[in-house]
Amino acid sequence: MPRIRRSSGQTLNLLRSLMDEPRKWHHGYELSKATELLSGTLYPILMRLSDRGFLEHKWLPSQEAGRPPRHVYRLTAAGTAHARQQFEIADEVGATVAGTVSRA
Amino acid sequence: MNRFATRALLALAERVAPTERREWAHAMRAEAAYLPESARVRWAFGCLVAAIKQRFTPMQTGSLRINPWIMVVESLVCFAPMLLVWWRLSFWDPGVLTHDLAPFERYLVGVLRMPDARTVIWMLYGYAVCSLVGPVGLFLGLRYALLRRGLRNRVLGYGLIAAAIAMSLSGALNNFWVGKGDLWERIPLVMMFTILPAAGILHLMYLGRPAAPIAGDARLAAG
Repeated sequence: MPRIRRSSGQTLNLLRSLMDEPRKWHHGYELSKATELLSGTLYPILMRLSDRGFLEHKWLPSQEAGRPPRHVYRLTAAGTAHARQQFEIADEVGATVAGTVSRA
Repeated sequence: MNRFATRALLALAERVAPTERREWAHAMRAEAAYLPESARVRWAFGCLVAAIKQRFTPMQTGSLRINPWIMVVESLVCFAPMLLVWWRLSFWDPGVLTHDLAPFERYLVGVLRMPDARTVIWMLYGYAVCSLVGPVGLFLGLRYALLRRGLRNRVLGYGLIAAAIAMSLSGALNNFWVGKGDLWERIPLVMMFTILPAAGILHLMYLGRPAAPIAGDARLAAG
């Protein structure tokens, strides 16, 4: 059975933000504010998700004159499935920890 | 001042980012144009951190997956001494594959007065078999360098490691029986004929492992 790698808390936060509106294109600053991740943490995670085929991205022309096109992101179908799987794992781990704490 | 620092940090981030991440560096830079003035320096500093992380990621050696040319050097270091031993025992005079060892046994008994000459002959055969780690390991190492195929057969891998250990063990036992030899003198031999070949085989076995799958990969592979 293939081993499933558990995502970090920061990645989970980002996946949750992306899953809030899965079909909408999100930009970096918006994700940074929603997850409270700094750009130095946020972008490496976005790159990793993109490398694994979980995230699609494109350049969106700016509506305002004089501003550059913006890079925007959303989850792919595989990314959505991956996010759901990670949420389930996180819930299971949370339930296990809560059970252990309550028994202690 | 802040504007200058932001520009400098973003320009540096773009320079530091590896070529394959250049688009992402542009993306981080473009995003900075949409931020409030007060948040830009911090954002730009984060971009530099992200670029540095990306620069260092391919340099991590934790995976032990190495350049093929380094594998050629590693294979020579790990297996060439054992290859020479195997060559010597198999083909030189007296070589177990090319010579009749009966005269050699008579020489041991008649001239050197060795009562256990038969044991010495069997040891020659044993060393010749164990030292096969040299040619086999070198072949596997060069195969990895050319075809990027590690050692997947665990039985063969552990067998080769056991052979390398047997080389040193039998040598140590021989010294014990004969009653001479210093442990410190044996350390370079143990390093050359056991530790290096065993480490080389373990590395090839590691390289032969399938990469750890991550969630969603199966779906991706299925399209």
